[in-house]
Amino acid sequence: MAREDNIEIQIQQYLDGNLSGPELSAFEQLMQNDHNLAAEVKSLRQMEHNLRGLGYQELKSEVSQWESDYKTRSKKSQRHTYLAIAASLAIFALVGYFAFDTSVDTNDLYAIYYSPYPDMIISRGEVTGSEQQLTFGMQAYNDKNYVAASTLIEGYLAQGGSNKSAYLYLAISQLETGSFDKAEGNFKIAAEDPNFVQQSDWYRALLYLKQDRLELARTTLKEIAGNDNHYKHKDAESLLNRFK
Amino acid sequence: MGTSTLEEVKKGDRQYLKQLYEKYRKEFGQWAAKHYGVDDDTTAEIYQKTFIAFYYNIKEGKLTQMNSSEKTYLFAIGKNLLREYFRASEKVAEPLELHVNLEDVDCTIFEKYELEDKQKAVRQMLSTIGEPCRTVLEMFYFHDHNLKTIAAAMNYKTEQIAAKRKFICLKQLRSLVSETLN
Repeated sequence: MAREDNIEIQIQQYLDGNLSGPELSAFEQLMQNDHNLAAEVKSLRQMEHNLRGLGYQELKSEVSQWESDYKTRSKKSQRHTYLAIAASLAIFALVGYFAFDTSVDTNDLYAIYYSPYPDMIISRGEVTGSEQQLTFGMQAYNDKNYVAASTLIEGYLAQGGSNKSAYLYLAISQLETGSFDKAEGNFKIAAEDPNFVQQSDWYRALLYLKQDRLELARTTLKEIAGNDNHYKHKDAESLLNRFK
Repeated sequence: MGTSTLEEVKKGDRQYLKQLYEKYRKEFGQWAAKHYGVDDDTTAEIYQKTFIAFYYNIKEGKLTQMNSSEKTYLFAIGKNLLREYFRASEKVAEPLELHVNLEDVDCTIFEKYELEDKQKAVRQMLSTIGEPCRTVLEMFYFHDHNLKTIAAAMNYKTEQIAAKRKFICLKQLRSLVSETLN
């Protein structure tokens, strides 16, 4: 019994790596001579290996969980960053809304409601002289080359051109190129012709809107909206409703 | 890498290991993406393997002292595994110099401990063996706690008692597994 206990202790010490020197050599010699002992040690070694394998599996699964935690936290952090940016932008937009309310709004409204008046001038065959200038001017206008259009139509009017609609197209060209004062004056001249008064008033209202001359824009739009026969009265109504 | 890191890793404390895992996770991802162009999923897979290999290299005493930082060592393992990954997928990766002798790094841990049928039986029996065997075996074989720590945790008077208890439990587990398999 004492010998068996001693062997057990030796196996235990051998497995734990606590045998060395002559003790280790003696035990290894013993295993060589005793196949049952060798088999017993091998079997226990295998059991240890399996346990360590399970430890490895457990760690693997824990590491996988750590990775998952890391990803979740990274996503949250990313989401928080996005939320922080979004919140900052929202605050900025809100501040901007109140600080620059009218300019942002009027520009947006202008962009929504404005479009150049279509070319309604009927060409009467081959033209010469100042009429030709108006024709070229309207070509430029149709090509959205408003600088050239302004110059050519101004030239036509300077030469005594009698077509009153030229003032309307000139004013729109000037509106497009930012010559607002000139545009306003020319809309007023165009409005002297009953055929172009409605168009002139509408574009003048838009001009005021673009210039942030809001009271003038509102007054003009109210006049247009109040005239059921005005070709833009519905647009004027709708614009007034969206007007701050 | 200082002795303290080696000791801490060797203790197998999960909280410490998790912190270490997370400490270099982001940087590893950026490094792998920059030098090897791997996607997020591949990076995650490689980093997990890297960390496990890192842990086992220390736990099994293949790394007893290092002049480089834990980060350099970790990334050196990662480099090895990335090379392996590219070799397996027949892709070409841009090499990156790391001042660590790659012969020091053992990445065979994965083949060594892959799950076998017998392990499944061992796992099953470990859950039925009862206390204190389960705790003693898990502390020693899973978490690499030494006998002194086990003795203290289990209120055994000496390390020898802890060693004897562990040995008895090991044999008991073997018997249970044999009964299950036969």
